[in-house]
Amino acid sequence: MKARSSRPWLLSGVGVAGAVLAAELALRPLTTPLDNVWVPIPRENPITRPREVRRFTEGIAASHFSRARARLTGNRPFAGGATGLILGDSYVEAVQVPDDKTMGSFLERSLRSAGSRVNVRQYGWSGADVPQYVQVAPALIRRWDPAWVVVVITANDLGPDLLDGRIRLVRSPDGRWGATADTPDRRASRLRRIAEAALSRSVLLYHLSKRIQEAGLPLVGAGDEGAAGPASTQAGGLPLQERARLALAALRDAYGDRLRVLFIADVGVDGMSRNSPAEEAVLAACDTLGIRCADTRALMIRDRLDSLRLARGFINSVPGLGHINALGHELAARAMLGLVSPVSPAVRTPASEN
Amino acid sequence: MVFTSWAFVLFFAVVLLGLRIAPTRTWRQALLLLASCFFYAYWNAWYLLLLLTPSAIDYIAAKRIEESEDPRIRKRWLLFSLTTNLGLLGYFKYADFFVQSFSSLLGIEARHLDILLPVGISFYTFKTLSYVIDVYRREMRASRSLWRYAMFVTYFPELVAGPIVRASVFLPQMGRSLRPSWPRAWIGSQAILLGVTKKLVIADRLAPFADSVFAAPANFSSATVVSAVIAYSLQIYCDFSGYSDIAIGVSRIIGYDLPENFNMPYRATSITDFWRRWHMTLSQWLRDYLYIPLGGNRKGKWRTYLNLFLTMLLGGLWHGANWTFVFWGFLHGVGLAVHKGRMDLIKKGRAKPLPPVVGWLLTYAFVCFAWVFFRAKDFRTAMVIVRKILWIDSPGIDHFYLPLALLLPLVVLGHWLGEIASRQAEAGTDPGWVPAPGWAARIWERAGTRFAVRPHPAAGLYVLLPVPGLLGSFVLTTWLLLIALFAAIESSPFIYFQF
Repeated sequence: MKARSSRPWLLSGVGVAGAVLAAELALRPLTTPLDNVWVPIPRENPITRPREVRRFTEGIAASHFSRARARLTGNRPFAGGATGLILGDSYVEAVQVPDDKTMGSFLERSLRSAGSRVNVRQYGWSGADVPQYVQVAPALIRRWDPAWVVVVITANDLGPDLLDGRIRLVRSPDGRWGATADTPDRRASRLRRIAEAALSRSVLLYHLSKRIQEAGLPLVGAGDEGAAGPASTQAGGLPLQERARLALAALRDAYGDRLRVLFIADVGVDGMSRNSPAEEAVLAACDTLGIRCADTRALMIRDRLDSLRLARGFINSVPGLGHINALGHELAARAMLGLVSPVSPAVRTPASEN
Repeated sequence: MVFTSWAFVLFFAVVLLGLRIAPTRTWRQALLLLASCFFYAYWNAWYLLLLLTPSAIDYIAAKRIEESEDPRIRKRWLLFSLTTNLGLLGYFKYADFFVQSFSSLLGIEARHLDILLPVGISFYTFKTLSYVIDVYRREMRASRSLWRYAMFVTYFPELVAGPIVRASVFLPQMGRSLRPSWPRAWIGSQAILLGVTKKLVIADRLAPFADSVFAAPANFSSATVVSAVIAYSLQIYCDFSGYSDIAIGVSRIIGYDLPENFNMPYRATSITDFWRRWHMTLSQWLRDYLYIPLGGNRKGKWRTYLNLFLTMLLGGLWHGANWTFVFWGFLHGVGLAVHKGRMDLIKKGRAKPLPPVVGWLLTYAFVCFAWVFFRAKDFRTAMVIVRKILWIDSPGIDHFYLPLALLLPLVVLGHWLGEIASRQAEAGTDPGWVPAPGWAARIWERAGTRFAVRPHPAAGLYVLLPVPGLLGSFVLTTWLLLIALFAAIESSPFIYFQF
């Protein structure tokens, strides 16, 4: 009697489990979880097989990453070639486009066709910010001794958490800027590890967690995007120009003469021929601090007017909005070309893994 | 408070809990009245007064009209009610529009009145007007209870964007117990689920694309603009019918039945057919309270065409205080008159009916063409779009929008299933509960799962009503996961809230 009454519920449970399993299997060919691993650069070693990441929510692409999450360019590496670095957030992570359509790939091909023996390495971390680029600088320089470092900046990078984020800028007694990070709460980090383990194994869970994050609900282990400190907003209180100057000064202290800055503009589908306030602030700070900077705005607008193409937007997203598409990456690479000095083929770097 | 917000989920949960524990029907009705007032006051507490004052006037006017045998007194009370309702609607919705229109006509500059439009004023004004007019026509009796009348006016599921419920439909249901029951909850939940899917998965996914192209159409190619117009046609259907489905579902759970508002409009084979399927409660209202009083088809051929035209012109103005809406109504008025004229010719044997496919194609193309004026922010933008869709000025940015290509077949499938259900409903003896189509029934029988299949023709989809079981839970979980994975994160406001 008892067995009979529990049977519908048992079948219901099987039905629910079946649906979850079916969704997991249906999503697997389309998407891959990607953890937001932060700064294990010194452990960057030659690898035999890159990790493939697939996405379909903005653009549809398979992208490949080294173990330390360098976005591969799809070009064959030059043994003994010089190294150039591109750093940035999701614009450089670029999971929306295939490897050979990333800005690093375009740049690498352009430089090589001009005779430079160069390997471009691009590191992008979704939600990363200037303090994080500063924090990772010593490890990157030690590991790659790059000829140049292009930091890709967007309007999002001048937010209020430069001085009070989880990773934040600090000034040392000698007046130079560096970065420091909060020690993670042990209990929270254990929870985070468990959550991250689950998210790295189930595509469905990963997607649902991303959805919850996008909806603005808090979730343990769902990445550090935009993680700001709870109380003060020291940099938030500063005017935009000051924030830009502070960010670029910190980057210059971290990377020295190797530093180049590229601002990715937002030109939309109509108008926007004038620089945004964030863009103006970055370009002005570059002038003040003597940093070589470039901006994609003119290139994007010219391409839109002459070739009727947009640098942002994919077949599954709104035209002119969101991350840059393959054309946007190509234009970013073109803007970078003017920033990057010819690299001597004699400069040797540790073994490349591309 | 928007139906697709967490605030509403919480609000509705509290209402249901209250209905569950309230000891008597009177308590439950009181709770509903309070909840409805709270729901409306959530936008702006002051506008609750605006809702309740004309309601009180209408209540008194209807009683006086009913009690009096003197036609002059009856007419006086009717005029008083009409003046109050239309006066408030005119002031809050159209004053600024007319001031600006006249001032630009006279070449003078008038300052904007900046009147905040009370949410749902067009809907509840029509609702209360129908009550007073029905009492005046002696088609229904005036409500004896202010309490019940207030419930009718403020009833929150359909208060802000319809369906426009008439008192003759709603007030007789007031005797229901309102005690929540599982069967009602099942049926209601599925209508809600269907509405949420239409709104969040289809309408809100298409909205950003349509918005982007309508904002700067000159920059896009003809093909892209045409696809954006199609996207908008699906967006507005799924947005509005999704809202109606949620309203109907919420109301079913509470215990009252609301009329259906859509019946697969995009499978209409003529513009007349379209208006029998689109926003049905409004078109029925316009027919009964505007077209027929204007004379309907009783005063000759040309007067019929004029009446159709005038009705739709005012219908256009009802939608919004902008000349683009008036022009949209004008187009539909002309369309209806031309169709009526053609039908007259066919009756006389002087024209042949179009093949259904041609009729469907022409109707859909016409409806989409008219949507351009409904959606465009002004005539200049609309004309740019018209030039694009007529391939007069075709070069521009090409953008293929994959979600449109994926969602279009889904809407077509919904219309197709709804059509099957509709035919069965027409053939069946009980239109409220129709057996599943043969193929579906065989599948479920073979699967050995007990299913009650409730066709939902007006909503455009079969709604399966599963009891606990393998297939039922599979279907429901898959459906919920689809919503969780593909619903737009940034939900846009319901389009009809602005009206």
